[in-house]
Amino acid sequence: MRTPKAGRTGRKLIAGFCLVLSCAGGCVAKSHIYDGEALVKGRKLAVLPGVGAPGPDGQNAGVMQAGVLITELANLQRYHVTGPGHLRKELADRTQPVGPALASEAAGKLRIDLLVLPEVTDYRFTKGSTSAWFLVDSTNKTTSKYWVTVRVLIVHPDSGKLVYSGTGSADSDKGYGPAVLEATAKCTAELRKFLADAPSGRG
Amino acid sequence: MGNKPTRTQAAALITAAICLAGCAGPKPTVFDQAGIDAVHKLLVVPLDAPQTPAAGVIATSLAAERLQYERYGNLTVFVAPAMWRLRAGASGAMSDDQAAALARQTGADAVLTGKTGFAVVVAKQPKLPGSEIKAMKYTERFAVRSGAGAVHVRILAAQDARTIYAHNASAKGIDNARILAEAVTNALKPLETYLRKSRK
Repeated sequence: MRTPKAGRTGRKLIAGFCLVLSCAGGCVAKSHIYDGEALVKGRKLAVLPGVGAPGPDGQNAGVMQAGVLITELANLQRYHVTGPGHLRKELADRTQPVGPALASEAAGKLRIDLLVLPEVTDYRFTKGSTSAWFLVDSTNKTTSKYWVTVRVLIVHPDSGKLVYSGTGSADSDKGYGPAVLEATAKCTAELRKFLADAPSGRG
Repeated sequence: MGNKPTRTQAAALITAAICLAGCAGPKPTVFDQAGIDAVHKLLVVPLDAPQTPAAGVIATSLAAERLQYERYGNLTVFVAPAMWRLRAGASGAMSDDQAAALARQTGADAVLTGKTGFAVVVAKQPKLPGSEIKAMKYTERFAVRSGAGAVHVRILAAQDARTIYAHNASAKGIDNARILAEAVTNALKPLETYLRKSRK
């Protein structure tokens, strides 16, 4: 007969096994800092247009995500954060393809230290239901849940070398808005923590 | 007559079989070890995704992040000019020669390119008479939406645009964020396994 202790040990083993399997399946860190020095020294960030999620709901989510991210980064009170407008204007007159040389020149002219690339990878809703029984009848209520996953990459404008990457997921019963705000806060949480501990680069 | 295996033993055997089958995985179409050994700087250009351009950009950054995060020896990964996003339609298909030329411009030894696709599938409930729908469980009346993604990754040597690695993978599920991540991870798996062993 199985003792309660053996049952607990078995559950722990199964949990551990599942964890190992999920990691072996290929997990990418939620957030990671590749070049802390660039984050400390950088002054001006340019947020490029976000990429919307594949699928029918999220095609325009990237534009909104870029706006939310601009606010989120500006709230760090560390960087001068701009949208893509100046860069777009700078590149509009150029006919040559956007290669490393042109990217470096444009970033240098606008004094952009780092580029921020927002992406929305999941943007969908699911329907669920709840049932309640009364004495003589039952009632069904439909509920919606909104799921959002966003990613942000920060790269050097000239070389494209990775500086920071973050991923955040959230869901909400109220709508896409709260889920996007929460997911964006999560994907920049590691950056916020790093900058809070790091010395100011403006010394 | 031999002893029957217990449930635990049977479960262990099935798990081992699944793991062995999963870990071995399909072999890549092209795998040039000597070519891969010579790569120290890898440029990642946007994967071509004619039907869902967003999937191409996302798969590109997932691949770059995946390879950079693991920090294989002295392999450095660069994301190709991010400012491409400012020019609508400029991130479309790139020929092998163009990709290799861009890699040479940036000083990279090789360039990662490829194709990706993503589709959303809605499994609608069949048109049943009202009485049968009423008899169904309430939660089963909704349409179920799922996604499927496929990624084909190629790595070209910068010098001569020769393919040194090619592999493809696909994934499906409900969570869109995981589908492309899983496909990219599986498409890079043989490469990563080799890099892990050769660049300790």
